[in-house]
Amino acid sequence: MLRSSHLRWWILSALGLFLACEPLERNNPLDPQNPSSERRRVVLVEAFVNAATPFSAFALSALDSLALAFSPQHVLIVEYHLPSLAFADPFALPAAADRYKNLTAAAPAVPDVFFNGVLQRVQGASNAGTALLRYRSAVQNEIDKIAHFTLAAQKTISPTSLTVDVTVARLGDSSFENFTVGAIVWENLATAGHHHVVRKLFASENFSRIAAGEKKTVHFVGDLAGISNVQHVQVVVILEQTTSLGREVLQSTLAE
Amino acid sequence: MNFSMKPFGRILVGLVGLCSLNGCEELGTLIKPNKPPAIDRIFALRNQLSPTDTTTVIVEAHDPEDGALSFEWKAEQGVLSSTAGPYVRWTAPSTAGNFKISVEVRDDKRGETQGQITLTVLASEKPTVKIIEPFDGAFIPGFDVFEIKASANHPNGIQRVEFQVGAQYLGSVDTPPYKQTWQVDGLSGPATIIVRAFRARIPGDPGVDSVRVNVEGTTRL
Repeated sequence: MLRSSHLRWWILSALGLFLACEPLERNNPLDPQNPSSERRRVVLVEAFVNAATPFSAFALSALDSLALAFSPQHVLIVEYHLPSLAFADPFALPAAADRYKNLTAAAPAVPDVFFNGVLQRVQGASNAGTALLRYRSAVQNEIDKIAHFTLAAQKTISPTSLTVDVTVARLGDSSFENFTVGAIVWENLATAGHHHVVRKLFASENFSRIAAGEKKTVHFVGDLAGISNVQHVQVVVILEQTTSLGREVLQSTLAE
Repeated sequence: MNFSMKPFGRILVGLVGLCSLNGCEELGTLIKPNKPPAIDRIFALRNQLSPTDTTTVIVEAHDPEDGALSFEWKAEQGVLSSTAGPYVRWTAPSTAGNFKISVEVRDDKRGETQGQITLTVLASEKPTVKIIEPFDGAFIPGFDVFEIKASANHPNGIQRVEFQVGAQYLGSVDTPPYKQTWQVDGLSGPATIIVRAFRARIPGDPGVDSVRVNVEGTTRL
């Protein structure tokens, strides 16, 4: 009799628990499966300079200061040295000129710095102080923006090659169309104004669509030509789209 | 009495009889309409004056029938010393503009004619001028040219707006929009932009605005 009442109690309790159980709520904002997930957008600072020109030195000095003020989790800096017949720059990279053309159609002249693509552009420098002031202002305008993408990147350096494995996840509750994922290889030359010298640009991979919560992978492989010290090589992976204004960087990350 | 006259003769006699009653004059005025007064001219001793200045406004008129005339003056703004008589003194308002002063001339037979004159009050204050672009403290990339834009206003109108950067005179613009290109290619460093606006009609000190900017040097590759 007593056993029977116990059994009944257990059955009713189990039934109650079963009825109370609903699908587990995905409320972790970092969970790609969470429809409300999002990330802070990392600010990508792309500086176009030519070390032989009179004003680029101010920009490079200001970028050194900017790098000290922000962590790579928030701000990533790369410096492209543009080739020129009139101004010989030992770090000039022909691919940098292509990237510059993709970013700007008007008034090409160095130094020219872009923040998350064409969203912010700061051109010219009269001294390192005013340049830093302007760069900080541009970063502040971008730093609190939200991204609905997250990137995870891993670099592997062998004696002859560099491999970058990237995972892209779409956050939020909507799909996204027509974007590219690329990678920029830069080297810290450990001299003033040359801490983020771009050495190589991997060709971007195009994606026509990514669904909400979906993950995509990208694999970049290249040689180490032009790199002086592989220990000082870093890779920035960028995800961008083309808008009516030009190229907009939606998310970026530093490969581990 | 044989009073046998033919009809034509009877009418003639009647007219002679009427005239003999001394009523021709009145009959003439009844038949002939009154001509209104004619204004020969209205003028002021000064057509342009400063705010609150005074001037005399005179009307010259006559009655075609040589009758007596009366005058009634009205002013759109400002103060009249009197509203009657062939001339009045007008004190201009404190604001600049074009103001109408009108006069109504009447004869003794209710005939009337109107006339008016427009007097100009010229402002003596400095024009207002504002540099619209660039704003104070702006950073200007030292590439190609930069267009400086300004607005300028004055009740008398603007004669010209002059643009200057530091000691360098850039040019002058007579009509809006007031803008001037500034060659900034190759420049670098702080600069002061000065814009001066001069009022029209009466010369005087210009209105001035200035901004301090930084030209950020660039190099074309």
